Order: sequence, then C-alpha cells, then structure tokens
Amino acid sequence: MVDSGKSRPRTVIERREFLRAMLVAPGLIPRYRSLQSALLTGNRACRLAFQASSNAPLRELITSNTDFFVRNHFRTPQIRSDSWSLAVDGLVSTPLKLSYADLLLANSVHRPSTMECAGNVSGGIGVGNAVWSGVPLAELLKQAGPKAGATTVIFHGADSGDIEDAPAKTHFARAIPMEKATDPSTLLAYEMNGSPLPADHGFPLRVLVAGWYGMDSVKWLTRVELTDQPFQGYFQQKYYVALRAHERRPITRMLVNSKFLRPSESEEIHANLYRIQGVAWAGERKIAKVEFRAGPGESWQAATMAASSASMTWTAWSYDWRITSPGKYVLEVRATDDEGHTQPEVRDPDRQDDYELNTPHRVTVTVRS
Amino acid sequence: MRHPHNFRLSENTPSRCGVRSLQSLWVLSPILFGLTLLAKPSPVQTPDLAKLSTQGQAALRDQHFDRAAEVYEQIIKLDPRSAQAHSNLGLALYMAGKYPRAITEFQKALELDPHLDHTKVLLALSYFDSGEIVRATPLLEKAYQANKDDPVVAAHLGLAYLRQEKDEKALAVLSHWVELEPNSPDALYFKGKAAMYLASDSFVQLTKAAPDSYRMYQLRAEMLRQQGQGPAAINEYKKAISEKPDAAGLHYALGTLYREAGRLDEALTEFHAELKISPNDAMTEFFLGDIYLQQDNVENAQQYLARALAIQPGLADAQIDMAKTYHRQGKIVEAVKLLQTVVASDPNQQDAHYLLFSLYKEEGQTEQARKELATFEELKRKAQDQDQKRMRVDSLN
Repeated sequence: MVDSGKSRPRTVIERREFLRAMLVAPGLIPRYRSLQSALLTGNRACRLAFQASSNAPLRELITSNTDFFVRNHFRTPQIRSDSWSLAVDGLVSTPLKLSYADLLLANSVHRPSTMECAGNVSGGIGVGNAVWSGVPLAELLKQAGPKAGATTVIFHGADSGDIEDAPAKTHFARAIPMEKATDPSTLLAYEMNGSPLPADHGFPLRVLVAGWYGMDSVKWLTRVELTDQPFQGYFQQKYYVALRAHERRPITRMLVNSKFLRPSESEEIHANLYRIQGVAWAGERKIAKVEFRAGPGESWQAATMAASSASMTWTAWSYDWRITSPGKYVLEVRATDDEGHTQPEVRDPDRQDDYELNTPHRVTVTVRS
Repeated sequence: MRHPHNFRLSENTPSRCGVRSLQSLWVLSPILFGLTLLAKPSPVQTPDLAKLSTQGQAALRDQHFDRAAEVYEQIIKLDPRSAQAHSNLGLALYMAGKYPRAITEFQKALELDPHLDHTKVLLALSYFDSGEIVRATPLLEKAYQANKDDPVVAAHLGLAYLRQEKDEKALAVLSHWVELEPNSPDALYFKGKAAMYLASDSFVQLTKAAPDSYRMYQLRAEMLRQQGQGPAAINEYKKAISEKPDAAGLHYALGTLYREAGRLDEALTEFHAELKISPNDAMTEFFLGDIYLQQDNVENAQQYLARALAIQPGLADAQIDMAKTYHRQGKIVEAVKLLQTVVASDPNQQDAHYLLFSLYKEEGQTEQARKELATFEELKRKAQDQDQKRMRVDSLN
C-alpha cells in the first residue's frame, strides 16, 4: 500500500506544527540536525522532465488569508468582539460608539484591494491581494458629522507595547488626511476574502486605506478621531518617512511594482517554451505596461496583461518565454503605471530609509535540456 | 508531599529522577504504596524491636528519611537477618538520594529473602537513578511483566530503553504508560520523543539506503516546505515525481504548494494528475473545486465539490464551498439549506455560521442574521479562550 500522506487542510496545519516541534525539540536536535544536513546539502543529479503545465492565463489572483503577509508592531491583541466597540469622536457633532454587530449589520461593500508593506523588498512576500468587506468610512463620518476645520483622521489600534524613547504602553496609531478618509475606497473592514478578519489581520475591525502602504490600514481599530492638527503620534513621526539629505516626506501612496509568481527563485525549467507569470500593481494608479527580460543585457519585451488594469488591485500578466539554450538566467520584470512612472533600475542612492523598495524583481533560474 | 504533576523525569539525567520523583509518586504507584506494608513490624519481635519498628514506620510515613535510616540501622543491629529491615533502610536511603548505599541494602534484603518483589523494583529504581541503566533494565523488565498496571515502572523502563536508544521498545512501553495515564504530560511527552527518535533514525537510514529515491526527494520537500522554503520544496517534489510519476500523494502535495503560491493553474494540473492516480480522493476533488471557485468557475467548482461530497459527505469545507457556489448563482435557499445541514451536524462550525449570517443579511432577514452573528461571536469567543489557554501552557513549557 502506498501512503499518500494526505489529510484535511486543518490536519495539515497540525502536522506542520508537530514537525516544527520536532525540529526544535531540545533532545532531538543533535540527531535531527544530521538528518537535515544530509537532506539539504546533498548534491543530487536532477533527472527531471517536468514540463510547464497550463497555458491558460492567470485569472482571479486572491491571496488566501493564511498566506497573506503579517507585519505587526506589537503582539497580536486577543480581542473579544462582545466586549469591543469602536468610538468615532474628536471634532464631530455626534460622537459614535458602535458594537461589532452594529457594524456587521450595516450596509457593507466588497472591494478587491492590494496591500503592500512599506518595507516590502523587490519580489518579497509583503504584498497580497484580498477582497475586503466592510463599511465605507465616509458613511460613518457622515453620521458623526465632522466639524468645520477637521483635516486629519487618526486611527487608533488596540495593539500596544513598550518602545525605546516612547511613552510606556504606546499604542499603534496612524493618521490620514480627511480627503483620503472620505474617499469611497477607504473602508472599515471586518471581512477578508469572505471570512471574518483573522486575529493577525486585525479582528474584529481594521482600516483599509486602499492604494496606500499597509501601515495606514490600522488593525484592531478601537477609535477614529478627527482633529484639526497634524498628528504627532510616535509611529507617524518616527516611522514611515522617506529620508534624503534635505528631504523628509511621509510615506503614503504605493509606488508601481511587480513580481514573478512563476518561476520561483532557483527553479529548474525543462522546456523550450515557458509561460512566465506574475502580478503588477500601482496603488491608486493603474498599470500601463509590464515588461520582461531574460537577463541584464537583453532588451525588455512587453508582457501580456490578463485583463485591463484597475486601480487599487494588482493585475496579472504573463509572457511566453522561448528558450533558445540551456543555462542559468536572471529573469527581470518591471512595470509602468498610467502616469508614466516605471520601476527604477536601481535604488535611489540618496535614500536613507528602507521604504518604497520597487526596483525590478529578479529571479535566477536554471534551464536544463 | 509534592503534587503528583510536579514530579520530574529526565531521560538524560537519571539522578534527577530520584527523590523528587519518588516523593511525588509515593501515593500514585501501587508498588510504592505497597511499601508501607514493608514498613510493618515483623511478626515476631521483641518489645524494643517493635517500638523501633513503629518509629521507623512513622519516620517513613512523615518523610523524615534520615531519621528513618537511623532507626532501621538500629533495628538491623538488633536483628541483622531481617530482610524487611534492610529493605526499609534501603528505602529510607533511596528517598534521601543516597543511591549506592540504598543499592547495598536492597541487595542484602534480597539475599535474605529473594521473594521481596517490591524490593526488586526499588533496587531497579536505585540503579536507574544512580545512572546504572544497564543494570536497572532487566530488573525493570521483570517488574514490568509482574506489575503492568504500575505507571512508575512503565515510565522508568521506557526511559531506560530510550537512554539505550532502544527506541522501538521504548515506544511500546511508553505507549502503555500513556494508556495507564492518558492525560499525563510526562507520559505524552516521552512517548512523543520516542516516536520522534524512531522517525529520525528511519529518515537517516533512508538518506543512506536510498538517497535518490522518490521518498527521499519527498522527505526533503516536506522539510523544505516546513522551513518556509516553498520554491525549493517545489523543485524537490518535481524530482520525486520524475523518479516515480505514479506515486500517490506527490502531485497532490505539489498542487497544494502551487495553490499556496498563487500558481493556481499549475495547482489544477497537479490535482488533475493526482486524480488519475487516486481517482477516489475526496481532498483532491475538494481542492480542485476550491480552486475553480477561486477562479469564479462555478460550474467546474460544483462538479468537483459534488464529487468530493459523494466520497466524503461530511466534508464541511466542501459543503461550505458548495454553499458559496450556490450563493454566486443566486441560489440563496439552496445555500442556506446546505449550511444548515453543516451546522446541524457540527454546531461549532464558525465559518458556516458566519456565512449563514452573511446570507441572511443579504436577504434582509435581520433577526436571523443577528442570531447567526451572535452564535458566531460565541464560538469565536470560546475558540479565543481555548487559544489563550494553550498559549499559557506553551509559555510554561
């Protein structure tokens, strides 16, 4: 009998946890380390004749909740929805206090939206695309009635902790201008891909500031505060700032970017024709074109976009790569948005921060005959 | 007296098992419980001996082991051929952590009376705790055969095997310990450890015996995947498939990796390949249905989800996906009916309750929606409580 080792998805996760435990079990490490070494350093000849599979274009590209990147500033707070509420206050005529049920039973909208971490490296996993459901922030603000002069909307999260040179138990908070807060694309989201927000993604409620880098989409939201002053919060002032010698600019809108989904880094390819696939995004802007090349000295070739590009959500693209000879290749992809911004060849040498990293994604592959 | 759960066993440092473990196990072990019988006075005793014997019993009972040892030394001076006195002296010394002297006394007791079964066990434990595992093992084996219901004997024999890398024997005995104490963290931990050692050794043997086999590539892929190196794992699965294209499970595993990487078309190809090898596999059918659903190909999704449910009617994930397909077709009644079936068979299905809430809300059935939302929140709260409990346990370990 051949044991396929199959199990249900949840069991797979349990098995993963068990295996992780196996690898860290104190008494086992010496014996297992030798095994890992034997497994990972072996130099085995590949006699693979794997052919690239389908030639169908990529269609819906949603990142599952379990695979969506998680980047938090503090430990994930465990919030019970029955003891949680959202306050909308500050410069408003009618302060609001809303329960989880109040929000979920209100009229909701569903928006596909790509979210990227401001520090995501080229081709990194800090980007994902999900369908978010929730209440447009504009509607709640309308109910609360912003007072004249309100210019800034501050989002307060429940996550907190102690940080050097900050007050004790500083909580995460970010602010956006009123204009962006009242844009129909800005949501208070309670659902991600049809499921309630997972704890790591902000249960019970988070902001979705579509088209802007992820840090403004504050998780575990407890308060929306309107003010007429620029926000001086720790995470607004100390983090997420583009720095040059004589420039200090807040990070806000996502820049044009792209990545390969196929092939992966170090993948071995056994084909003469290989369909390269990937995604490109440009935040509030649309993707105008995506280009591919099979090495630094090669010319850029136009890739095919699977559908017409939309703002806020990524666009799938593909390129049928005709391979003339075996060998090692460094594949590159770059995109251009509809305002003519193309991913830069190299990182701006004057930048003193680690945000907005959007040089072309490069993967090295080996083509075998 | 220590709480039983405080007792510590250590596979590698047997000396740590001694006093602490036995003090705590005093009331747990049938054998050690039986030791109180050993402390009874001999049937024929002089008044002095009877008095001393009573004092010795009291000292043992009160865990004044140094005092007990003094008393039994006096008894032995008066009655040097009392096997029970030697045994009780050995017990007092053992409990005080003086294993070499305890061993001497137990040996003398057994020379005088070879039928003192409890003394044999204590001698075995003394050897174990003084690090003489090889000597302890045959005595523990005999004790285990004679006292299969004693968790202390099972524990020590299992650990003795484990220390000598007799992992298969260890696993058998430690499994029996788990049967005797199903909720014992120690029993479960050491049984798991024995199983891991066996697995580790088997895999190491695999690397030597069949380094280019499909199982080797599969194992390497699984480990790489575990380490979060999905792309490298993909390469290894491809090699495994190249070695044995008709092996069940390989295309499935590769399909799940592609699915996680968002390479859905390749995932579909792999799952279809798997179906040719494993035509009646509910999970493969489910994943096909799930991916088609992600791609908004409702017709195909329904086809494969229906097949999954024909094979495994209670597969809740497939039922929920099928309800989603009905929803996309506007067949709300069918979707609700199916989800009601899911929650009827498993009232704790959070996802199904949440989906029911969404459907009722969409249909304007606010009261029903509110009810389902409340149920979802309650289940979510319970799950959070359980998670927090587990996190507390994890942080203690």
